[in-house]
Amino acid sequence: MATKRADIISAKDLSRSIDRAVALAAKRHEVKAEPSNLLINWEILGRILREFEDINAAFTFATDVTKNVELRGIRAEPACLKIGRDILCGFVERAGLPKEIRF
Amino acid sequence: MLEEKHELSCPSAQPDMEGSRVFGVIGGSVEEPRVAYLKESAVVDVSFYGKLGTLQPTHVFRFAASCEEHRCAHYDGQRCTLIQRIVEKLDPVVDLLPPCLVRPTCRWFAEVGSEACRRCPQVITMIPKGDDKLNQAARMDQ
Repeated sequence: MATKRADIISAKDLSRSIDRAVALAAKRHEVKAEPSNLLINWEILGRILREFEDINAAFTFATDVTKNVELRGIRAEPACLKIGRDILCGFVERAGLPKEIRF
Repeated sequence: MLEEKHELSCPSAQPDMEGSRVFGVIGGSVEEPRVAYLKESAVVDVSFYGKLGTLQPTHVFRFAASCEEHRCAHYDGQRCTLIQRIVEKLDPVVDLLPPCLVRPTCRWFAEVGSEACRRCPQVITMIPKGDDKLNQAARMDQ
């Protein structure tokens, strides 16, 4: 019987291995991912929420904040970003909406 | 001896934990995930996160970090109960110990030795929903 060994990844194979792992994970977790990489430059003006775990609830909060901001004449869109255990929540000014740079 | 314990690493860590680093990439197949272990020269830095799209880093990578001991639900005050359940419930998937960057400080290896390493390649930190053996081993209610 053949010996079972774990795979090993060298620096040369790393990028290709990650691409394959991303494709597998997308199927495994039923997530649809664009095939190309994406770099998004943006700025969220807002706060870090430490008590929220539900990003949908955080987005509702961001929407309320944005409505108040728009009353002051700033054209904005609500935005949330979850990084690790924190949720960044606030708004993006429309002039600074995310710009997609495909590479 | 106590000082050594504080230096142990968790091989199923989250990316935001102290001292976190990637030591494996989750390959295999959709049904049978298998960790491929990084050689020392293969370093995953944040520039690779751009490839993840909406996936969590733990969907694609295995992380090791400093063991949080009492701050972790799996720690019973003396040892990691997660590796105890993994050894009880999961069969080995490799015959030879993978070359692993974490082993010198790995809590699982320190506690159960090579029995951990022979099961480790099937462990993924973010488990898809289901009731397979890996889910059963991860659950604490047994």
